[in-house]
Amino acid sequence: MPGGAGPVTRLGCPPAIPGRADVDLSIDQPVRLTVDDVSHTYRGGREALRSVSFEVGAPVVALLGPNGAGKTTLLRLLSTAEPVQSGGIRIGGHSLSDPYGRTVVRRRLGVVPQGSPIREGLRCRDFLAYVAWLRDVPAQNADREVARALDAVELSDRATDRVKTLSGGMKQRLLLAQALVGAPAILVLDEPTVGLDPRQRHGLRGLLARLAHDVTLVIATHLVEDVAALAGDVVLLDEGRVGFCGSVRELVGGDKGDPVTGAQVEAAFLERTGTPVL
Amino acid sequence: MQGVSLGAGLLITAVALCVSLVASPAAFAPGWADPLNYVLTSTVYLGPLTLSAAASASSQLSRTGLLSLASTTPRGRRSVLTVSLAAAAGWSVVALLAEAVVIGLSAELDGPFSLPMALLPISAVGVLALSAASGVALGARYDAWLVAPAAGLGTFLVLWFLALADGQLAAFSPVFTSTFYQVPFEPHAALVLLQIGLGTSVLTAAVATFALTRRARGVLAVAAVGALASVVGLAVVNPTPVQYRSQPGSVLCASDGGVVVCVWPDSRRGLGPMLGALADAKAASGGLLSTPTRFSEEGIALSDGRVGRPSDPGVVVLPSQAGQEELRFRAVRALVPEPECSGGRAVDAWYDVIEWLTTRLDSAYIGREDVRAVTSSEPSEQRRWLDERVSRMRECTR
Repeated sequence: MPGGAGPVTRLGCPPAIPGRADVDLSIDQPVRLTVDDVSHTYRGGREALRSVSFEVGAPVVALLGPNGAGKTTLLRLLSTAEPVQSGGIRIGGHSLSDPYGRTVVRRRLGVVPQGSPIREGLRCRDFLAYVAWLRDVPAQNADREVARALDAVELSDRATDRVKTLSGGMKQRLLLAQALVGAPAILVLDEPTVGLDPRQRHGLRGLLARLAHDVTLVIATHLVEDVAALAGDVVLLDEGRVGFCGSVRELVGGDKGDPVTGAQVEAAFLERTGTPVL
Repeated sequence: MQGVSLGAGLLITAVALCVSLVASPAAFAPGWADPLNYVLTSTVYLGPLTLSAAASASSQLSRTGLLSLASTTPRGRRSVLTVSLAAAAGWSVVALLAEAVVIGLSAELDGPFSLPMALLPISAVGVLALSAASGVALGARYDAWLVAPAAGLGTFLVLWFLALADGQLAAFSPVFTSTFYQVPFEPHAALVLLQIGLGTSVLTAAVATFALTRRARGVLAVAAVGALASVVGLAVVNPTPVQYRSQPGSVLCASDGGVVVCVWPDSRRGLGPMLGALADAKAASGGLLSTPTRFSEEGIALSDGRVGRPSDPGVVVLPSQAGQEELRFRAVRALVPEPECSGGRAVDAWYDVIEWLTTRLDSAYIGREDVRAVTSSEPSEQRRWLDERVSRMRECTR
């Protein structure tokens, strides 16, 4: 099971992008996340995050909390989909409040959102080619990137099939593939296993575990089994506040070599926050 | 994948072609302005369709989460929405061009082309670009599926209402549905420029909302100032959508029966029939009524340098259709211009003289019994009757 901070390795830069030679795109692995006193209020006055602060650096980081805890809001801030209203966020040392820092992070970021932002009538490779355009992958590299991403999620044989012919589990893998286009250093995933049957969930967790050797994963989930199976570090969120931040082992206790179960994580969450995860 | 759907694009094109096919080129005045105005008028339909198509495309991007995903990428939501904007605007401009070509092939595009005339197609393209930008901005902000059709319908109703408005409110209508640009006229340049200015400001503001950056706020502020200035201008400008054209380099003239007529070069087909009608009317007056012998078409400068208006002696308004009845009507009014009074004895006297000349000119005309009796009386009696009325016409008080 991946967990704890592995040796720090520096990934090489992706292929040179014309006109952007001045942007340093390297980010150390595993990517260090620093969230400093971040609050977020939506239009209408709903406070989704309240003075959230933590620092994590494992290959797999889980944001655990019940629905409405602020996981998706935090994920949207981390993925630069929402601007930081107050406080600061640094990813790999790059500040998201700084336009340069945001540019660097976006170039090395992959996002697996909740839901399915895919037009069902498209062919799998055409959707990934579109994402390659969004990620500013040079045209001469796009086909190679698309093939590599499909291969990473074991969907190469479905490249020319339309999305609507895929099962739920395959669609989730396709979403993961689009996040891998452009050689990201960090993947942000919002509830990636929700809606999958146990077999599909198991398969996807195995895939994520393999990816975690090369890419830092930040996974928002309310499923304690996801945390137990994958996470090195975990941040507990409840009603917009951080209840705990540290390694999963620190959360549940016990010996380092003992396997961590979902029940242990759930019990620890209840103990720390006073509310159940589900 | 990001642009408007093929169905929406084809619908816009189909509507534009239908509009061009139902046009009656025979009803257009000679020259460029009338056909160009017809093309501009069609934006009443094309604009709302474009807005609806653009809003549908961007709202679908937002609803599916693709816009949110795009905001996490280097290209950002800005690029995605800009592509939608370009697609919507592209379809509608191509449709407009197709319509313009069809109309251009059937219309009589004679005569000089002036800068004010060029403002009409510019305004048309501006309406479509603004519709596309507004639709994209609206759909990105409000992604319910109902927004697109509701916004399209609402825009159509607003345009329709403005097109029928009177008074100063008419200045805010980007189309001139009730206007026919006869040969002497061209678009009111100041009015159209102010409308283009307002449209450009709103278009800039709509596009700036895609950016969501600090620079966008500055652009929005400039756009707001531009829009405000245009609104103030439109609130005070003369709302009449026509102005007299610049004087032609040369005019076409012809003479017959002691009458000389000079017209705009574009009106050469109407010169002969009008000359004949004026000569007949002059002859019908029998020398009993003092009338001009030299006539120039409305809009051509008179000997004193003023632009000739229908109420000036010696100015004739050529009809768009050269029927005999219409020609007689115009000829009689050219010989006896309407006094510039608001009712009263002068205008009553004028009606009497018009009736007298028409009765003498057209034997089939069944007019007033009292005037018919005058035309049957002795010439000296008719002259006395006419002198009395001409004298009253000169009493005109404003």
